[in-house]
Amino acid sequence: MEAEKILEVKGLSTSFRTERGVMKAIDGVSFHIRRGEILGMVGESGCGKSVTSQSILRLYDEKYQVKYGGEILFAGKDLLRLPEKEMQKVRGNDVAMVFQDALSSLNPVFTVGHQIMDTLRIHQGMKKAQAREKAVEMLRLVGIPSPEKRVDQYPHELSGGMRQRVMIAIALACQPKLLIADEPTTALDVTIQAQIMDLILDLNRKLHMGVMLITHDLSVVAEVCSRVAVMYLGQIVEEAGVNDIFDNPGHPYTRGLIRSIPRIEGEREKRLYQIAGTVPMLSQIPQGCRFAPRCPRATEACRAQMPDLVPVSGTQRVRCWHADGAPA
Amino acid sequence: MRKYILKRLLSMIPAVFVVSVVIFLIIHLTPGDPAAVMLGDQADPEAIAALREALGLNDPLPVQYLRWLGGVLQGDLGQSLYSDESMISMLLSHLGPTLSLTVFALAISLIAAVPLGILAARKRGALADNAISVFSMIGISMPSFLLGLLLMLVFAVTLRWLPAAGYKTLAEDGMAEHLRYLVMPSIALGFMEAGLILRMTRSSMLEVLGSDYIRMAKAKGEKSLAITCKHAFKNALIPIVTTVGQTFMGLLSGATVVESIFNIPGIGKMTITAVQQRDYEVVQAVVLFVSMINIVVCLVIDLIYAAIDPRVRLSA
Repeated sequence: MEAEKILEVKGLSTSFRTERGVMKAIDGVSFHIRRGEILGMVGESGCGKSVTSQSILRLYDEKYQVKYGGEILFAGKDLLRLPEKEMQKVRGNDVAMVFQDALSSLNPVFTVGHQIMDTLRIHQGMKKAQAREKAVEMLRLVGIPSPEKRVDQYPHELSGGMRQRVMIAIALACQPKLLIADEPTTALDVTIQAQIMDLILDLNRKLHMGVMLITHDLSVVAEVCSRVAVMYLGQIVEEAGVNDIFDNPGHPYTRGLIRSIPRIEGEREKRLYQIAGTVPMLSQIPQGCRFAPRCPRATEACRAQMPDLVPVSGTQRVRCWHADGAPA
Repeated sequence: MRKYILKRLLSMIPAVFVVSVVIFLIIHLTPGDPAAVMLGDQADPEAIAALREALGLNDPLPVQYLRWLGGVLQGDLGQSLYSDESMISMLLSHLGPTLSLTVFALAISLIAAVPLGILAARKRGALADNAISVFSMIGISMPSFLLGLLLMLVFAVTLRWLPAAGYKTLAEDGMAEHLRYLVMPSIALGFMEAGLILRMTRSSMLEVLGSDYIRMAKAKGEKSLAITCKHAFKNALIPIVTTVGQTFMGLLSGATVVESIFNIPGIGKMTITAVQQRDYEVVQAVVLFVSMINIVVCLVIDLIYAAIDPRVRLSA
């Protein structure tokens, strides 16, 4: 039997108020994450992965900046309907987040111990001494050597890999049911990347939490995720189990992403594959299928009307008029 | 931290040296013969020559500098031409009112400016923000002498709530009376500084509030007020402290004007009198004294930096 869904996002849209009018950064995004499952979310820069993740925690300024639509169901509650005070109890406690750049995301004027203790004191009402003990324990859990010493150091005194471990320690301090990791390894060396991914994977198994892993690195996805959602220009264009995505990609965009991975074995192509064109600006979203202008298979029908995200086989869903299995 | 303080103290020595040389040269290279000034227009040349010899004005400049410096180091700042009081006791007796005035002005401007700046940053673009911006623009563009006179006109002449001018010491007349006399001069002096500090607080807070670690604090479940007051404010403090340091220098020089308007017997008033009387030794002593205060304020600002930001300590 499949584990329960801990997060279910239904038709989420996030619009930003800007000087050039309202921009819909994501539009009709739906997906779910089950307990203990790792969902990969991939796509090029600017396709709405980070906006999706930050919308789940409602991190944008709702008074001046942003307007949400749709539903985000977490433990039976719609997060978008929660009053701010209730939302504060969810953030960092039930749903925690790890950001891409640990150096700028850690507060430079507080010790790392203090920053871990913050979460514990907010959500678990711990006293200082108790929280400190737990902070040391968390640092040990994420594999930082001599945590008793590190707990009193400032972020600038740690290496990049250690800072990312601290971020993970902060996120996991209250044992969240869902961890959102927004490109947690992008700013790191390759060797450190592997260590951090191993750490997340290990903790995911130990603590049995759901993980939403945002990345543009498909090799990471292949290694750790059980399911993948591919985003393009604010929409999910394909969602499937990790094997289906790599063996039988349904959307031309997914196929493009996979073909763009440099390969070591086999004969080398003269040049790396690249998807033609770039992601258009939000103000210039094309009519019909949003990928049509860059798609090798685009037809008149594609340019005229937007396809829905429809199941093609088993758990695989694809947003393409030509998603009948025939590879391009 | 101790190492940083020691290092910072040692670095004061060259600064003090340079300042002393500059002050000495300004006074001794400006045209005009102190001996001639002391003896007046009708003095005969022989008497002037004798006085020059007696004052050591014929020695080479380095010798004169060393003699003066030796005196300064022993607490001898020279002798006023018009008063028998020692320079040190003159300075100290005028220091009290100036210190009271500047510290009170700074306190008023900080109490008004910092919370308003934070409020403006939190409500950016809203009515409150615009109103506060107008307030700070008025503060920056209003000269202290004009504001001083306006305050006098309203509160002393028309409403008769406060004394128009004068000064009461803390020791003899008590706190209430002391403050009653200081309120208007302090507001006149501190208003511009308040405008500057307010603008700096607002822009510094805005910058910090947009940073990644503030988003992180929100993602941790911090309350909005805790984010502003704890996570953001401590980071925003560095530019604010810098502005406060700079404005303190401005306060000291601004005190000269305000002391004259409100007839407060402070250092500024003393300086103006000395300049009008061509009392070189007093001017020299005051300039040296105020420079020393500035150097000490810079030191204090640097130490505050180090206390706020651990990265400053590291790079020391």
